[in-house]
Amino acid sequence: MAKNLATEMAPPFVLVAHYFIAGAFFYALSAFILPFFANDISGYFLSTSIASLIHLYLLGFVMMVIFGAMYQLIPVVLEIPIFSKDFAYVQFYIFIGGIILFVLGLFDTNFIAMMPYGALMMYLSMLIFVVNIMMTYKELKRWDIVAKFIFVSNIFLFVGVSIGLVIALNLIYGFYPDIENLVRMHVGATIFGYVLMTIMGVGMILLPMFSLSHGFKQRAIEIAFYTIILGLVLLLLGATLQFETLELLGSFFVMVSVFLALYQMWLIFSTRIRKQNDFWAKNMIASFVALLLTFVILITAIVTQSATLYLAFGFTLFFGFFTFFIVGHIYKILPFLVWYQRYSPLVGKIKVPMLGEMIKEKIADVQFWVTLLGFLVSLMAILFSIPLAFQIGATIMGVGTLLVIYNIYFTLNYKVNLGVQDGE
Amino acid sequence: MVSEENVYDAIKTVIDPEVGFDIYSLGLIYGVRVEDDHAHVTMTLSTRGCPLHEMMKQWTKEAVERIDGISSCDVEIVWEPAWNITMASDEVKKALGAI
Repeated sequence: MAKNLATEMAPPFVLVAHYFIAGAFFYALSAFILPFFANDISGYFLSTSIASLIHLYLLGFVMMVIFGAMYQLIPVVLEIPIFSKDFAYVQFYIFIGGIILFVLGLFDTNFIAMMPYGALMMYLSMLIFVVNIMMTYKELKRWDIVAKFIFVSNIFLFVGVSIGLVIALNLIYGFYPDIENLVRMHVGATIFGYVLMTIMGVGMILLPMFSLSHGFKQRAIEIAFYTIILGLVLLLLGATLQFETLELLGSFFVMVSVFLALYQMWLIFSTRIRKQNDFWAKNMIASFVALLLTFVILITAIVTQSATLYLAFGFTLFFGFFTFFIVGHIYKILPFLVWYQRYSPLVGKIKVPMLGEMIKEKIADVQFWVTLLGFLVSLMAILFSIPLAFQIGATIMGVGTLLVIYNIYFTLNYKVNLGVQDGE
Repeated sequence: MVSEENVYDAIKTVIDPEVGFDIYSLGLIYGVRVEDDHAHVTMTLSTRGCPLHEMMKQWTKEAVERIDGISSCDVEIVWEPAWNITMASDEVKKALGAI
């Protein structure tokens, strides 16, 4: 059997599957409850009910899938083994417990007492992740742009979740008066510092790999790397010192970085050899258009100070950019993981399936259009403050989510008649 | 003695499961040399950091070593010249939408 240095250094399939299956569950749960938030779209942006939905979606789906993907991708891309697989399991179970207590505590005041315990558990879980990644980096020999993005993003994750813990404890004990200040720091460090920087980094591997792009320059993403760090440091400093101009300057640099990253993605796409607009390519195009739209809305929101536009900004970032980017890659990464586990030992012995066969392509295609329609209807509903339209849009998005779940189920259970026993 | 053609035929049985074509048609094979019962294959991959990297190398080695008359094969991965689509067969180019 093949000795695959990169994949053999990666944790077993079952570990990554933990994260992906839990991510799919929380994705479905978020989609199920989203229509019930219709009346919140004209409310105050920082309500605890919206915070509960945001955390369910971001922690349960977005970060869960990212954590699983990082455990798989870091050994492959950076050619270093994960420091501790046991840490990764411990992190997972603490995270699951933490998210349930935390989100329930935020969502329902009857359970508010559970919230700080949930926050503490999640903080511990994230610390384990950060330590695991930092220890993994001790083996790193080649500091390319991907390695730099992942490393710095984890520093921002540590900063972001530390502020998050302070916010959670403050909600109960009320020791710090300016919560909005802390929220801006928390959002900046976790969403832009961790999630966005991670996506920018791994995107430099995933996009050329799946689109077969070659010969593009990567100067734009290299400048984007330093620009986003500068922006985030200024943003955090400005919020700490309560110096609004500094915060605005920081936001400006973050935006410049995002536009540079988008330009880089365009460079990659313009040199792609696989020109078929399959479900993966459609999801990528939609995600980058959504990211562009996100920052156009944010600029308008900053200028007009409109609460509705801030809400539209968050919705477009979460349910547009993150959703399309992550779903598109689940369709690529999950079949590979199942294939590697189940069929790679049989290559050369029997006819093994192609990765594309392990996804229902037609359903993935229909799912893309359904999700896009639902997203657009919901976004319009937010912009024009029409709760009923939001309910309809969110329900359509929910149908899209069910189709994603079906495809994940199909991939996980994909078996061909080999006449041999499958197993670990 | 085994000919280089025989080795290429064996290599054509190695399929890239992501793209769905054999690695010869993809243009990943840069050269084959046969010395008595030993074969040497020089190949590249479409992308650095590809999770299939070592597996492709191993599959190629195993496919060649299955030829009667070949007892060992070493596979060398090179990155220069970098692979590009012009190296692939017309069938591959067409399927990928490159022509």
